[in-house]
Amino acid sequence: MSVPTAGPEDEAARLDGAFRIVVVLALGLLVLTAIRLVVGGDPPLRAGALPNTAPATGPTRSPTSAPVDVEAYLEADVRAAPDIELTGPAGPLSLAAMRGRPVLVFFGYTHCPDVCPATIGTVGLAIDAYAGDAEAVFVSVDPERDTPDWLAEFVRFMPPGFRAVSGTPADVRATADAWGVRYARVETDQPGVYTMAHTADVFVVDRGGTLRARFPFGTDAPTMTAVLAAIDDLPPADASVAPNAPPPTEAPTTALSPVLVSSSVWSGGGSPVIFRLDSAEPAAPIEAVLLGTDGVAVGDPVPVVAVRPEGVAGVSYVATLDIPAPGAWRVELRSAAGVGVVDLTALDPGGSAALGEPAPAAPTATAADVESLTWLTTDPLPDPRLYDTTPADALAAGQPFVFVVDSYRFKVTQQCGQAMVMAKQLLDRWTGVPFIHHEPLRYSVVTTEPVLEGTLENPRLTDVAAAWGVDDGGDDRKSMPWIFVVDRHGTVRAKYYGVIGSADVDVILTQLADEDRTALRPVQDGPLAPLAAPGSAVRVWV
Amino acid sequence: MTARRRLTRTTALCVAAVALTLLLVACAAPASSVTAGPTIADAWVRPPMGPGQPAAGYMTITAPSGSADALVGASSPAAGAVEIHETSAGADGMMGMHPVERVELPSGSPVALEPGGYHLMLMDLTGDLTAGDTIELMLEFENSGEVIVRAAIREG
Repeated sequence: MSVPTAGPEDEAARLDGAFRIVVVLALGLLVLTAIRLVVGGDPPLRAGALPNTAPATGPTRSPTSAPVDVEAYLEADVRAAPDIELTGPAGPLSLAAMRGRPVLVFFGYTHCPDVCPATIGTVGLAIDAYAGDAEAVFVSVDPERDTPDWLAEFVRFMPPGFRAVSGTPADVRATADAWGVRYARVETDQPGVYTMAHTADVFVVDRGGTLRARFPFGTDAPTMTAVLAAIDDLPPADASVAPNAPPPTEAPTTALSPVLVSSSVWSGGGSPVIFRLDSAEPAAPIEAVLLGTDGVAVGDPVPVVAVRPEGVAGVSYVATLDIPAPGAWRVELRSAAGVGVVDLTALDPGGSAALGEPAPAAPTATAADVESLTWLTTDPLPDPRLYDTTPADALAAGQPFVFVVDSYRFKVTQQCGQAMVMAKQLLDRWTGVPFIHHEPLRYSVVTTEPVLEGTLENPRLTDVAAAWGVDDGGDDRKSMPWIFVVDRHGTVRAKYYGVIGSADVDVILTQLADEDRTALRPVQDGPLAPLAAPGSAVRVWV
Repeated sequence: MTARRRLTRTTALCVAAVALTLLLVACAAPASSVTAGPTIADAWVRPPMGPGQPAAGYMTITAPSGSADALVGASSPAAGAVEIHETSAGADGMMGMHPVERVELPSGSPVALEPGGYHLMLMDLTGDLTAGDTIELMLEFENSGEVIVRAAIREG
């Protein structure tokens, strides 16, 4: 009503407009009401389509109504797909022998209830819609459980055209490494029950054996089908003479075939890097040299130490590298038998306790200092052994120790709680090594319940956690959980954060035991950690 | 003011009145079951990939406007145990899976339990899950108590 000079006609028009608004509002109310009546009450049970496997009608992440951006999925460097020579229910399988048909390759494990079945379903739909002769190969990264007999059961639940393969741990690791696939075993809170963390890309190999495309997890089936069809229209590539072939450093360096095992590699010096070799154990000495991504050496070669954890098949190799900056690097291993190169990514350590430096001396409390373990841990089923000593006591006794900074209750990252689970597993295996758990966030205990000070978004670190520098991951990640391994001289020798592979701490403790020439003692009675074979031995510091 | 216009206005008023009445009825009648608890849509369960393997359950849950809630537990007559899990990608690109104690449900915002994210793990299944059938899922909410939904068994 801001037009005071309006005449009668204007007034009528304005009133008319007001009524139109009433009508629109009324209709809107009707629609809302209708929706409420239809949807509101019982949970609707539509057999609606899953986003990432939906046919054209579903709410897809890349709607099929829009043309698929095929280029976005194609490999920048056209190269021959790494071969796969593993074993399935029907015997040996060779990817090279499948030439002539497109093949979708992905890695997973059969005890995976979420990501792998979703990928299998999507790939199945894509192959079906492609209506050609495409096949799929599922490579298990869990050879311990996915034996050929078990895979025979599993493939019955897969769509037609699928094959499932596995092999020895070394063969599987080497295959995954050649494809740039990473995986790690992650313990659960049930002894012996574990899951596998793994990268979940789906790769497309064309009829000529060339690696053409990769789909990140969540890519929908119509997109995969469109890319499969587009690849058929591409001119055939002779990968062996492709202009964009990878740097020739990889060709002559297959003698050692190193595979990266470490779940955290750090810049800033003194980072232990664990490898496996997909070959017979080469004669010592082996040395490692850090290379830039351009293949130019950075620094002098360092010795590589062979480590054999008790009860574990295979040899691990540890090189302690000074990596000047975070980011992509390569490591070349050299021995008389040949050389081999592996890619790695170094993390920014930020303000976390530095490798090769004395461990922080912040005093921690033990069970003897508190009336209830609830003051020391939010774990509802705490293992008292994690709270019976301090770093200072361990050092005074001349023992290495493992410092676990993690929270069961206050999960500032999705991995919180997993480091404690792993520590409990390793306790049974390393009875001579103190494992010390520390809750990094301040909390109080109300009756028997831990109550966080502050919020999960803005928690308050304990003085001890701050002293270990876990508040500063160096980039925008929240840095939790952490595991630090400290040798008997009080020097931080290894540290891990986030998704931590079970093998890492085991290998580092074995290396420290070797250095200290510790005694061997049979495993005590009690639950055996899954890493240890029955009847094997543990090292103790005596 | 013409007769036609008056008619239009009368119609509009009637429509508004009917709509208001319907809305009030819709809100008032089933208020205890409709507005109190979260709404669950598209509940479905993927059969397990092999004997003895767990199955995964998915759905979209929306807490009503003005009352945030949290999914804190689940069970099913079709499974010995049901856990809430989350698949997440670590800093290194590896996807892993871990149990969670609760899924926060902000007021009015749909939260998807979907492949590659939150999901229910149905373990120790009591029988075969056949595509086309449905099973009951009991969802436990922090504020709204227990809600039972029927989930379709299907591949996906």
